[in-house]
Amino acid sequence: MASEKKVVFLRSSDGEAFEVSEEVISAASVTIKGMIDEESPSRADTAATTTLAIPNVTAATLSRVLHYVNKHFDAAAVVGRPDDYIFCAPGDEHPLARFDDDFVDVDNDTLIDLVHAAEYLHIKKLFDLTCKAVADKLKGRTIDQIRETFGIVNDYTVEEEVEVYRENSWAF
Amino acid sequence: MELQNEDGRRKRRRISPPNQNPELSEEIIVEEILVRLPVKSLVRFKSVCKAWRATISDPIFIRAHLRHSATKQEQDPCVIISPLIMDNVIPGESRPSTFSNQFRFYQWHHLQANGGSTPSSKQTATHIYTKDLGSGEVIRQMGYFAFCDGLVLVRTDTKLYLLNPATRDSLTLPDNKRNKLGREFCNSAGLGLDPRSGKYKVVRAFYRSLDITTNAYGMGMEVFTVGAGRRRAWRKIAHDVPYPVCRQQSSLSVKGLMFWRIDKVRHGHHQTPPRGLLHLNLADESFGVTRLPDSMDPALDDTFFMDMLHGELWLTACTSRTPDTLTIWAMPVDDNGGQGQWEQRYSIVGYPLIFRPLALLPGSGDGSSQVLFWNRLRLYSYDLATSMLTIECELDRMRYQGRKARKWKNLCKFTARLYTESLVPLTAY
Repeated sequence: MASEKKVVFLRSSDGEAFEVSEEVISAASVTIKGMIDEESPSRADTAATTTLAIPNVTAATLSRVLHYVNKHFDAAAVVGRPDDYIFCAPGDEHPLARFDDDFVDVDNDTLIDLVHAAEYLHIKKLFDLTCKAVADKLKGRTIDQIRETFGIVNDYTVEEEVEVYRENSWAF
Repeated sequence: MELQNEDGRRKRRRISPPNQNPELSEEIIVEEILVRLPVKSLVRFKSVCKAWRATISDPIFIRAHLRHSATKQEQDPCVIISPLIMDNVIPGESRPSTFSNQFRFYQWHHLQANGGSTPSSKQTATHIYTKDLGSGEVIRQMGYFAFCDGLVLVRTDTKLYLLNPATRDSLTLPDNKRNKLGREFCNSAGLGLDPRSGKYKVVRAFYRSLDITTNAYGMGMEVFTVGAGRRRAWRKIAHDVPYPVCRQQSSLSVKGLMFWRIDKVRHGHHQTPPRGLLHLNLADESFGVTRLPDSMDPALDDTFFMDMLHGELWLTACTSRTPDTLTIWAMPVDDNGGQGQWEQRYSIVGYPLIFRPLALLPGSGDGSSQVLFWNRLRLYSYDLATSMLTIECELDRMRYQGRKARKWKNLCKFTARLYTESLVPLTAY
């Protein structure tokens, strides 16, 4: 079937392969587009499909990323303006705004895996979305919780800590 | 996705090796996560450790945070609201003269207000900061505030205060000593960013001389550079001011140009002043004149509002009473202080009200279809396609966080402006 759209396979760090439309993933990921472009001279004369190794992303994370990418690509095709949903009010029932909210409503480790995957694959919108989600989680945390989250050792002396607290006590 | 240092050099980014524990690199934490946090959280997080405190106070971080804050602002306009309160109302007074020493600042988010499911959420403003000047100062006149990157310049009849409501930082600027005409006092001032040095400048006008035969006032201007450290004093601008500016005004800055209204009376009766606005280039501190739009009736030359929206200077004037018409002109200013052409942008017909533009509301991206307006008591949105004006909220009736009473006692008016919160410090850094 010559008319069928080209697909590529992405192999996760734990060896699972995922099929994705070349058009979709090239539009979404700068990294993968680069890989495909490098491959393309040799692909032109063979009918074989390409498999790209994504050594930094696990199957669980990669399947989430592909879900995100496909969803956003489809929505862009329908509305013609992919970013419209960004401007929706939180209460507005725009499908993509809802989708994004649900997409990042995951546990910390999953979210951080997504940040890394978005960074490695260079998917700007997903990277922004996940970083913002991390920031939203941190916003209300206490100082102790922040230290715990990032494994930070408190290097203030008691006096210094009291002093910094006193300067900024209104924000607590 | 990356921060750039001042020299434009890209920082090296760490790519995590496969199957590493899910931990974020310090770079991502600082450059991608912390920059997205609200100022209040960041002020609190200075207590986490010394490195975090240093980061949060670092000028490069502060600028990156401001850029994020400005982007957020475009997607979800945030309005800073300040009620102007009188200590007491003197009956029969033509203009109020007894202002309260307390300035309160609240913020209101357009999306939050319109997206919330409960109607009450539309009517809530959250408290940011209250500045109490103490009982020492008697305020007989209050000027409009000047805003720039989260900083607020408060101008009374004789004094200037610089505030950052988000960090609760405040600074009383040194008194005006250069005014040579004791009886006639000028306290016109403005606040802007010098794009060349990256420093914020407060500029104040003062009278140098008076030629009583022609009634021509000589004027000078002085600059206070925010965060200049020990040299915390006013420095006189070398160039003379070519035309005197109106003596109690808050000038408006747009991308490194500060615009002032020219005082036609004190210009002297020996010659006609140009039909335009005086502008000061904040980088090289030179003066020039910006012509007013040709399509603006010269009779309106003193009665327009000046506002900054999306890097443009906007003029709003009531151009007709039959029918009521509000006309808005816009002129782009580029990053080097170059000025574009005036364009008559909007005509709003049929509302016997005067209001000023606050923001273009996001919605349809490039061709935004709604403009947010304000006047002393209300916020409005105006739909450009349908020419419909809708009341967004009644400023005197909405709920203000931390206040039990709904009704304001001795309220004079409200000031509303677009607000981008920032960590910009007022003292040396």
